[in-house]
Amino acid sequence: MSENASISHTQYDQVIACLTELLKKLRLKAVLVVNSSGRIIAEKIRQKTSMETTTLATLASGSYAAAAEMARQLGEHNHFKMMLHEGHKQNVFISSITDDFFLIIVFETDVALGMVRLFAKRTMVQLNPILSEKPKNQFAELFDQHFQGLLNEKLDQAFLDE
Amino acid sequence: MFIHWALKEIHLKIVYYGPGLCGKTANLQYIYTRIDPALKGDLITLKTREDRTIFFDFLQLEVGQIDEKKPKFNLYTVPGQINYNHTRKVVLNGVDGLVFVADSQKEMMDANLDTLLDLEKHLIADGKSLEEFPWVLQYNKRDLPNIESIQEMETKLNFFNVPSFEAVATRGTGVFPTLKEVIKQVVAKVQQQIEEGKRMRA
Repeated sequence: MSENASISHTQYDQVIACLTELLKKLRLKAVLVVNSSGRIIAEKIRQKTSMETTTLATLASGSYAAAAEMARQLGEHNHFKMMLHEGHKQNVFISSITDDFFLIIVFETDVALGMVRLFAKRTMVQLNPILSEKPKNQFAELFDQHFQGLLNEKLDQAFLDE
Repeated sequence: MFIHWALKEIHLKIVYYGPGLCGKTANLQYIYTRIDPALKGDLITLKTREDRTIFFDFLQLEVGQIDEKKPKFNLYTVPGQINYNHTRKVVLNGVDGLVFVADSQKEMMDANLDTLLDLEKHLIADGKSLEEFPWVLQYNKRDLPNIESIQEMETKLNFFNVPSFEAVATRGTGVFPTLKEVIKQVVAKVQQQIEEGKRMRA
């Protein structure tokens, strides 16, 4: 269970730049950086592609976490390096960037897997130092009494029948 | 908790924990049916052919913007069956708050307690404990015959005196009060950590 964590503006911009570069090099449908709890850190989707990325990230994080536990049970010291889900029309490639973050690539089956692995590896080498940096948390700015009051009001509005 | 400063998103993960067939999925199903479609994502359920949760259920809720920030609540359930112990551990990764759904039927009291102790074991392995972690209790299935009294359930399960709610999750009774309270507990815990941090620096 991870402690409170965050991603800074600078980190986000750097991650987006890496994903944009990857999308230029390969004909991918989508590329996402997700944390181990399934929250999307950054995503780039090819134009005209429609995808429910929150669901994709949540399911991929479950799959990733299950594989990590499988590795542990089998006596592997680290996560499995990569996972590949092969479909008839598209594939999903998942690979670890750091202990807390992983990369998801969705691509059509006519794109060579070797190319995807090659460029994904280069991107992960770029992403690793960016995501290894721990930004200074400023949670105090967010969670004051004013915020809690407004949150309670919003919860009451959202849960209409109570 | 995870904060995405660039997107101004605050993510909180709430996990519904409890013995098999206690009504964890029923809580999420009710929430899903009652929330404005603009404020919710898909309800993901990963289940066996027998309709039992095999991995988790997931639902993301939003409540709109607060001071330009977007709180997002990620609700998960765990599989309750005993043999999915490792799966429960996986789903607990990154959890901020817990709802323990207890089955009120008398014959389920041992299962409730065993599951609560199983939860405590996972928390302790991660350096946490039920004594300090934000969580609430929900006494579900209050509409069934042969149920334990609330007083008895409080004695048997609520040894840390956390907020508790009576519920009939399939009808929605007690579902939203439970969710609101666990969110409140999580935010209060974060505020407490901030205050402790300030005192340490002073």
